[in-house]
Amino acid sequence: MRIKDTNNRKSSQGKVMVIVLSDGPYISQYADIGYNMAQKALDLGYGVKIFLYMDGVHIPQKDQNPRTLPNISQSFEELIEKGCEIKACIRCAAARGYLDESQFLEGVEITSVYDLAEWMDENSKVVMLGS
Amino acid sequence: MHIGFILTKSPSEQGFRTFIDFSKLYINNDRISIYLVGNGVYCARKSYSDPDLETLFKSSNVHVSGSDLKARGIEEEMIKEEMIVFSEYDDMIINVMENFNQVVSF
Repeated sequence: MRIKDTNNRKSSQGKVMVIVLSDGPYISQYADIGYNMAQKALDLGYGVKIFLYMDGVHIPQKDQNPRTLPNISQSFEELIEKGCEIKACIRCAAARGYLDESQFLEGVEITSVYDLAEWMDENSKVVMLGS
Repeated sequence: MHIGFILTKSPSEQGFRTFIDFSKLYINNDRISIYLVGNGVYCARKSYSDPDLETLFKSSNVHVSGSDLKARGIEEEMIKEEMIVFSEYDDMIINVMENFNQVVSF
């Protein structure tokens, strides 16, 4: 079982970067940009939450094997280990055949898009990435 | 107000004109910072000229990702003079979290 570093990631500043990803992996650079931003924000002590929307729900699928490209799933696994919270839109996930979290990395939650609205508070900054 | 734009689209992609139109709301009224990442780095090329983009750039601090330039074969001497090339995301993240009143990505 993975232990998440959530206490540190509340961050001393209490500020959270919310990243919304709507593109899948290997078709555009958005998943990589999101990963790089999230990684740096975590390193700087900010909290990071990622909401996966539309094709973005493919990003944390387990057992990816892109061969010639960096494995985005492994990258996102690193983010989870550092305390990043990741949620996927339930309607987007179900539409793409993810009926539960079993095909996702441990720690990824399938949830309502209303959770994204709850993440948008005065302590958060929201960055949307997608085509 | 200090607004930050993260531009990930080249001028030929859908959404670029929306970015230009949206940015006009802020020119001459607010402080503007722009980060060009991904395909957005194509906007930094000397060989690309768009009157609206030039006006916007003159009113803004423009940062461009060095690794994304390199990935697209764009040398630093090929980009506009006023661009600030960055290699790490630290500066962008700190600006987003601490200094920008609003951040909008296209």
